[in-house]
Amino acid sequence: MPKGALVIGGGVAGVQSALDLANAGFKVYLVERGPCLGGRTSQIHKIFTSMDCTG
Amino acid sequence: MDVGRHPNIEIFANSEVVGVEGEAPDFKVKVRRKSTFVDWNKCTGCGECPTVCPVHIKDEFQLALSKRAAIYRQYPQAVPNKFLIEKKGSPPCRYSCPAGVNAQGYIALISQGKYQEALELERRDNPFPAVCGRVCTHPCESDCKRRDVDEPLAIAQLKRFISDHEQKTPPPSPELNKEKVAVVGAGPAGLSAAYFLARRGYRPTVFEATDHPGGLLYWAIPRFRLPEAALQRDLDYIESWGVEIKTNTALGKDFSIKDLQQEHKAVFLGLGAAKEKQMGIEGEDLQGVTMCVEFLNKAVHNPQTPVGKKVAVVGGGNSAIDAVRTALRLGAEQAFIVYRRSRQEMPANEEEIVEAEKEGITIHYLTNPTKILGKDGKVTGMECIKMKLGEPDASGRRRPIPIEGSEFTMDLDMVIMAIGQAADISFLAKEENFELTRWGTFAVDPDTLQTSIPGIFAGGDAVTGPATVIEAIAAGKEAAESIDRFIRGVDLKENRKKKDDRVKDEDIEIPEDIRAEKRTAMPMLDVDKAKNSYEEVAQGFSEEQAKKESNRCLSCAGCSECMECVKVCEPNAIVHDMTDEFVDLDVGSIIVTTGVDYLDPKEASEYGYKRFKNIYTSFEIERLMSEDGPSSGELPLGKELQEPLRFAFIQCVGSRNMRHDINYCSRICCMNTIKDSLVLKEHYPDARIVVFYIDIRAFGKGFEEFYNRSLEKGVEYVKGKPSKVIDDGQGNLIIHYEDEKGHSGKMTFDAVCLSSALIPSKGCGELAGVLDIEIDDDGFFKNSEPAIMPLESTKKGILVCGCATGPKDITDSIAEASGAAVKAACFLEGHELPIEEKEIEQIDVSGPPRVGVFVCHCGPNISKVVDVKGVVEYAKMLPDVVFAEDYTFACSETAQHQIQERIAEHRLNRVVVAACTPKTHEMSFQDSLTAVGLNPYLFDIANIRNQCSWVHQKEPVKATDKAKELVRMSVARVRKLAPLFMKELSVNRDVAIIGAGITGLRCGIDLLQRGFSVKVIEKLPVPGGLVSHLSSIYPSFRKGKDIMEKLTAEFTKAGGELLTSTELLDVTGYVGNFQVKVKREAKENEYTVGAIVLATGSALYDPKKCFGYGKFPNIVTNMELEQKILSGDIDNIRSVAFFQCVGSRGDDGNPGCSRYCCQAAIKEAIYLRERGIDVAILNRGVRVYSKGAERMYRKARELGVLFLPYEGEPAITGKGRAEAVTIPSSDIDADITIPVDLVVLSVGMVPAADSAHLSELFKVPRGPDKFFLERHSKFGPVETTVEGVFLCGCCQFPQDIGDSISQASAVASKVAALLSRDKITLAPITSTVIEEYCRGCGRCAEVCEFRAIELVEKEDGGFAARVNEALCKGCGTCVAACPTGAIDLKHFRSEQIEAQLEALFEG
Amino acid sequence: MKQAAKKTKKRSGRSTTRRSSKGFEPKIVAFCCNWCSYPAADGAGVSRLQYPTNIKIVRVMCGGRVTPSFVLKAFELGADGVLVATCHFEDCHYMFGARKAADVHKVTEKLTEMLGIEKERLKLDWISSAEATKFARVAQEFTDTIRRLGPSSIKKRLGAISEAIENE
Repeated sequence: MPKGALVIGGGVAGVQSALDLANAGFKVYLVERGPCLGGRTSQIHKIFTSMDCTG
Repeated sequence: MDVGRHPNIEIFANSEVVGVEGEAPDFKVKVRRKSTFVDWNKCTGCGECPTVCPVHIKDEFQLALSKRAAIYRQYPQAVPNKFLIEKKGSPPCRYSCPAGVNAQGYIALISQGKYQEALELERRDNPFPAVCGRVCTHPCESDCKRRDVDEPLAIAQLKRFISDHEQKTPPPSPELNKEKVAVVGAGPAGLSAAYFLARRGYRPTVFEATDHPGGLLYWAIPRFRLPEAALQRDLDYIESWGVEIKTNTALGKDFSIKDLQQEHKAVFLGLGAAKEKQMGIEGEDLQGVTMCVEFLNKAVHNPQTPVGKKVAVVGGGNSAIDAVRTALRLGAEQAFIVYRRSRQEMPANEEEIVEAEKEGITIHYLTNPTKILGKDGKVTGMECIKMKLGEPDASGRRRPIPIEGSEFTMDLDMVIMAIGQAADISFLAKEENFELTRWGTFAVDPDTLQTSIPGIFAGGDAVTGPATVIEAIAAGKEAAESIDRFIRGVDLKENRKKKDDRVKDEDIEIPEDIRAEKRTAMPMLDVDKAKNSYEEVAQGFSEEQAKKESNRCLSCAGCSECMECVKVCEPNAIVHDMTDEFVDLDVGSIIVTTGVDYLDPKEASEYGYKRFKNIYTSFEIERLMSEDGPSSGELPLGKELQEPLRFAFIQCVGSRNMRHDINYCSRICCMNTIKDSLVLKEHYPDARIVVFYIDIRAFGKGFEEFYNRSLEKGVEYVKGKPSKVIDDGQGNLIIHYEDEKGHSGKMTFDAVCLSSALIPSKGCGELAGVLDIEIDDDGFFKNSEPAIMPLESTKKGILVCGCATGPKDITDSIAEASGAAVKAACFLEGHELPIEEKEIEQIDVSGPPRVGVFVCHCGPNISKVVDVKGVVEYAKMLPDVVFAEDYTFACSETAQHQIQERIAEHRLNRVVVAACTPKTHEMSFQDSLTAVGLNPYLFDIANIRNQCSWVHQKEPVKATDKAKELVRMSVARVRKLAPLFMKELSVNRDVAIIGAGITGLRCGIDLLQRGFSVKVIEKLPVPGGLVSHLSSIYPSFRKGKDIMEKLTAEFTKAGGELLTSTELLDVTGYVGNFQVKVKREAKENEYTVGAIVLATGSALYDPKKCFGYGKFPNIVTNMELEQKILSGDIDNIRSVAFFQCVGSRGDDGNPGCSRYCCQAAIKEAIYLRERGIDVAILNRGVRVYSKGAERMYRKARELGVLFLPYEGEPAITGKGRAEAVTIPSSDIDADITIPVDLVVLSVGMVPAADSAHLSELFKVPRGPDKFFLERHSKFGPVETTVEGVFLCGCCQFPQDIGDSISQASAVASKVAALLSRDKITLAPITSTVIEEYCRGCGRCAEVCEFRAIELVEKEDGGFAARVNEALCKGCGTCVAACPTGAIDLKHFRSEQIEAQLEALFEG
Repeated sequence: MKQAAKKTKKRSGRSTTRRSSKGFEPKIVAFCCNWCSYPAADGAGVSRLQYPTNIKIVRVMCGGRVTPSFVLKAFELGADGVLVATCHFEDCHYMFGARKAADVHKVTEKLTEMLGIEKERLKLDWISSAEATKFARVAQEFTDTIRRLGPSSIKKRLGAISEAIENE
């Protein structure tokens, strides 16, 4: 088993870090305290300035 | 690819890092996977379970604004999309019950009207619901948490209700166990032991000495309290499990222990306490003195039992009350109780005492008999003594002490002694050598109830002395467990101790808006009628009463373990006894992204949060304004609006506030408020929206324009801090505030939003301890050096990013996260390249279509609504369909395997799966096809779940028709599909970075460390960019030049190639293979690179003639001031005025805030002020937001730096040099004139002069502000629309140094990911041109955002479009633009979509 | 057009029952983009939001891919209503695809108007992947609108035209 990286926190930053590492070919362990990923961002209804919806 | 499916990412949700040891790159990590009680390998996320869950607790995701079930997922799109159960421990009711009866569970089920289910749940722990519903001492009620609100729930009476509503069900049939077990005594202990053994499959025999089972329940409890029929129901139920009861068979008379041992594997003795205790006073042998049980026994079976005229019952237990009430019914003229303590200590149930009193019974408290008086051998009276209460005794009750000389006598003719019973088993001890206690009870192991003789167990009153029914039941239950273990040869003791798992009081959720509500009173028989009959007095709850009462339950434990979810879960995923799991991981590096929490605005009590209605936090507004939120996007004001909505935002609640010790700006709130104000304006166009603020900090890209948009929409801004918010009692919220000029005012609103400060995430300090890294003064994770090392923690190999280091918006968090990734990668051992796939023989698909259709039930999710078999039969009749069948879960491994077999068996060359959305399983089905050599693009999913069965639940017929139509459309489409093949491009692993400033070099170093070769191309002769001109950098105060020299050296040392004085000539090619042509020292060179990074920076605004620049020599830009500071040219200066926002936030080509200047000016001001120079910073709002900046701002003010607002161009006067500046002050309604020696213009950042040229060269578009445009303002901040071309730093938008550096590392991360592979695979869904139809008009090329289409000269001289598949993203907009139909999109070809349409309308 | 109309004629006989205005069940096609409105429709399912069965979704990669010919084809084949659902402008996976969809839609609207199709029968809307509720609402409201309008006559009229052409 090759050694990977640990990402603590599954919010938008944690997910981004994990994806970047994984896309570069590394194994990533993503540990999230809550039951699912998304963090605070998933609670946000719309995002300025583009008024995108999260989801 | 999304994070949930990435093969390289293992997600540990609901988990915590509990231990980290070692140093980079050898960290040993321990992770605790908290139990979810749902096996996530099995859970399909179908969503059936919460529909049956009876518990409703606050939904943290919706910020407790709404409720959810105890089994839940946070939101429908959650990743992982799995359910979990919230369990907080044992609810107090269950914990305090000796038998552990799940009261919360059956109460929850009653609230749902599931009475039979409730009864079944009850009976898992207690076979006597009818009995216990009436006579239990209910310790559960004593501990019921509802007591803290008003009164405990009527738990026993609810239990009785479900028993009264029993529906006879067929007898259960557990797997039979042939081992024989004997139970002696058919009282509650013996019967419970037999019952719980029967539930385990045994067929126990119960030997009872009397002629009726039930023990004291039958023999000594009066029928008006426990009707025979009720008892019989429980007895019948126990017998229905196969328990055999042999009456009139007495131990010691009809059989011996030895006899039992010969025939049975194990024995349970439930012998009770048959001997009644005497007081040992004079006169107890007189006629008319009787024992309580003996008396009740007679009276229960004979209403003609003789009774005295004046009857005293001695004792305070339930039996005493039973006896006295029975005496009354038998005809006693006067019946009363004599009890030696006070009412408070009385062990009888409160409701029984009340009923007795109602019936006219007197209770003489603190009275104890001393002598029974008699005449002629008959009772005539009783001498008693008055008692007082002393210190508590062993039972915890206060000890009664006789008051000397208080003796008195009472006349009576009957005395009933109800002072307790004792076990009578001395004969056994003698004959069988049982060990006894000094109280004459069985000595048993307290955990296993085994007596001194192995295989013989005992419980109930014969062990404990007289106790309650529920304790006897508990003993029977424990004994059954022991006996089962004994027979199976399992250790009797292991894991037996009762777990200390009572839910913690602080975890019990008492809703803030709970209303006090008395417990439902039990309907009682009219007292006059009751007194004269044996009819049951308590009448039982009606259905309505039971439901009402059950709804008072607080669901203390979260999940009530009612097991309803288990019943509906088709994949059998629910595991109620799951435990936490620990996983050890070896990792090379760690990234910490633990985010933020927000300050509870209750801390800022002056704003009335939670005290008044309609005061929200900004996060609550997010949820409330969301369509999938708790109020479906409307504000739940709870009142009719008479006029347009009045809504206020209060900024900086807690932030920038010494009182809350929050010495920083929360950075996101201003923009969030502006956004929310616009969302509100959409919902309530006429609303009056007022924002109370200190400074509007709109410093990011597009922020200023966004702020201006809100002004245009009529959002009002009041500079000033509200002092308080009060409610006028009519639902109007009145904000008291003081404005800029010091005027106080009041404004009235319907609702108020508080922009609460962001604070470090809970548990962040503990995590720092686990990781051995430091936290800063504000409680966030500390950087090893802020600004220059914004991603490094204080420990090597541990990176910190996003809000973990301080509040940040999404854009900055995302950039930091990528940056941290590239740094983390430096500690990892090599990377895994995708594994070469083995050759699989491809199925020839050139022949006519042979379609296989596979229809999924998705458990009940589809089949409950859609007639799946009908769809299969229908599919078989569709053209080219040669095979169709259905699966319970088509996505399961077995089913996919079967599909693969069907492909071979029926020579299928097209596959349709009718199931859920393609978003979930399309890829896994395609993989299945690929694995057997069928091209994965010859596949389609008919979405008959998400878009059919789930949304048409009430129309099964129509839904089935629609499912057939969807399958028909899919079949039509799949018949027209063609195989597609992935294309691969080779990748050059070199990188070209344009610009040798701080971002370019940082990015270069990061890439070099990852093993890529890097060329930095700089047009100027020296590297360093803007930063090298800075006198110092806050907060380290290192010289810009030093930093840049060090960075340049590091870059060169790491093997980077620095090309200064180099001109870019041309760029061609595409991702993986760009050709960059440059000219250096008159020599032209061409480099091939895989990726290009634009780090070209920005220029500074040239103030030209404005603000008197150029007119007076002592008016300088801030960069010129930096030079002055560097050269020490400030000696003769005594007074300096800064003008902020020169060339920013205006119409002069630069609409945005330049972000860096406030912080830079403050840094410079401090430097000057510390040298005794007077400094005034004339500003348009002070926008300091980055880490440490607020403290710096505070320091500047403390040092006496003046901050004054100004608008427009001020008057700068003087002769030959600037001598004074005059600004109109809004503060005092008068002009202010400041004498100056130096005027500093803080000039904004503008796009570099060559940005238009670079934009053309690299085909990277620019935004309206003329800075380069990123791929997505939030989620793609460093990518461009051109694949393989990235950007970072100020060429995108003004940034400060820390943010620029994070972006530089982020780019390195993206480039590294792109170039880590030897080849880039291109998705085959691209546009394609039929050249003969193409007229070369170029419209397709015009609409293509990705510049994937170019016009090439044809052989005949004309032009034709050509698609560069490396650039094409497969959107297909070019197809819509083509006037001749010469261009089409693979896999979504016009004929394929038209076939779908034709199929749809065929029916 | 001629050829297509011929095909239509052959099949027209089968679907007479639903043409009576009483118990009229509209046939509606929704072109949904792969990134926003299609997942929104999925989300409506996840949240069990109920809407009429009349809407059938055709997935396209981008709203900008919905050429006028798809819409015309749908009407010609017997659609009573056509919905094109895309991302919000700022939310587009392809940056400007949603804007292009709006541009194409203007052209489509002109063409349908020329053919005498009531303009309420064609609708463009923007539904992000998080707006499951909106999808269900739009589906309900659009179906209601078409139900009120009654069956589209364009298919019949096209049938008559092609018959006339054939008879010549």
